[in-house]
Amino acid sequence: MKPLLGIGRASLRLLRGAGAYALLLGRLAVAARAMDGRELLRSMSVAGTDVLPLCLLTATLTGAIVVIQTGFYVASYGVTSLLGWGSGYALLREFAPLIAALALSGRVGAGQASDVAGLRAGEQLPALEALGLDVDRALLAPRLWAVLLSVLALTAVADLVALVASLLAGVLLLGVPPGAFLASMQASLRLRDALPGFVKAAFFGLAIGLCSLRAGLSVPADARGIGAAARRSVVSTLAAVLALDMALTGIL
Amino acid sequence: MRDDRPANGEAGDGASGVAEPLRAPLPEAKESAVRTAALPDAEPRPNGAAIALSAVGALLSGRLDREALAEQILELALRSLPIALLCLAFIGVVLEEHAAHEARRAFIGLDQVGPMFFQLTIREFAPAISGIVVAARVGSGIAAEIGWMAQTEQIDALRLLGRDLAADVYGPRLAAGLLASVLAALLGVAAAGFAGGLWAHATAGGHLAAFVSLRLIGARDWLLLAAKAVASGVAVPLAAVHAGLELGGKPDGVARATSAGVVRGTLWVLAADVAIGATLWWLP
Repeated sequence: MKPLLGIGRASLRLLRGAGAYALLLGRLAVAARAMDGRELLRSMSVAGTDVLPLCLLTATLTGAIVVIQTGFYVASYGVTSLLGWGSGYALLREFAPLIAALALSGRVGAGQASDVAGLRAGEQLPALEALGLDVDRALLAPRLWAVLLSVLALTAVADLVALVASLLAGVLLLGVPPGAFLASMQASLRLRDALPGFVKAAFFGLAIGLCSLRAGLSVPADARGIGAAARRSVVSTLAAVLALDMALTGIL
Repeated sequence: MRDDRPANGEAGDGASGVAEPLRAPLPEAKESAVRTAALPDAEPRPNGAAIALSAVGALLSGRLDREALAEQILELALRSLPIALLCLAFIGVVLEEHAAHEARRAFIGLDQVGPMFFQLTIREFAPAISGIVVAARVGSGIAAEIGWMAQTEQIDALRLLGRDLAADVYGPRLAAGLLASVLAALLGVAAAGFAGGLWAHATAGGHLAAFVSLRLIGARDWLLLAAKAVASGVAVPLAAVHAGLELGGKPDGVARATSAGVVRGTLWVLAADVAIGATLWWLP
């Protein structure tokens, strides 16, 4: 009987959680029509420019990792001419958006969750509501859509940087001639190969925004809740991004 | 941390010796001077290397607080496993999808490319993704806790009471973080392989062994997995402790420490991945 009770409770928790996310998304989609444009730009500046150095570093490391791992295979089969195509295809389609989203969830997600939790702990959110301000339009919707747009922009940057890093790693670490690497990329890679990566990035951005806002809104409104919001946001974002990656890889 | 009593008589005397003058009424300037002298904030915060060395010293000399160690292993290592294994299971399915896609494109069976993707799971995905999950779950937990302790001056109080921070605070977290990373990487291989194999069976009509095969796996692959898992296990909790100590005392310190702990831990995981991968590339 106990296992059944456990399964029932877990299912109810899951359904409640899914319902809460769906409601939040619906509310913020409606609020997006009249959201504060200046707050959107400010949030994009925070979510985009603040994260740019981290994104560049992550993309560089990811490019190097992918080319090293691809290099083991192309070297063992003696087809180094495929290194540019293999690593470029893997980067654009899978790794650049995934690793960028995983790294950004720590920075943007945790920062946004703790920010919202801090506004609640400092009683600024209730004060704004008491003044008659629509918090969804003024604060929450701009943050959600800012994360989505920023992740898309950062994915484009990550794609470019990761490709350059893979070229450099291929040349410097594996000793592949740069001409052969670039020719392999040019011959086989098309712009449309990057499209699935951008579709994934849009969903990842939505997941990061929603999970971080929900974490900030659902923790106790006190000082300890701020740290808890950051932790909860990081973990839930991670699971959501990887679950979405699994679902979207099958579809795209 | 088993109790709040001073670890030795001297420290206890020292603590009461500091507190005693504050009870007597003092001119404001003098009281401020006493407080400044009493608080150990003037001491430099330990850097990452110092924390690591002191924690390893505490571990090797058997000074680690066993109760705190058990608590941290439960909280950081064991409670991180479900999310780590879930993420690796997702990755296993994603890799199987890619393997099946490549097999269809090349008109070959899944068992021709599946083992290659499983080898990639061992070499790359299990240690990297489990490292990132550990950075998120363990790194955020440690950074938030140490940040909170720094902000509420518990670290200073423990230092003032003469407690061995390496044995009571840092060491158990570093040991539990290392265990979390190694367990997550090893069990993550099994989770990814099992999920990928089941997915292959359910969708591509293949059998479990079409994806999960040890045909291509050699000692170098296990060495890569072990080296990356250990490197992540050392780097992530260390970065988190350091972030907690460095940022915890500042305004919004807990949130900033949590965010910094995760980001720095993730970057160390990726940097170690590149360094170890490149090193093994050059080895004969």
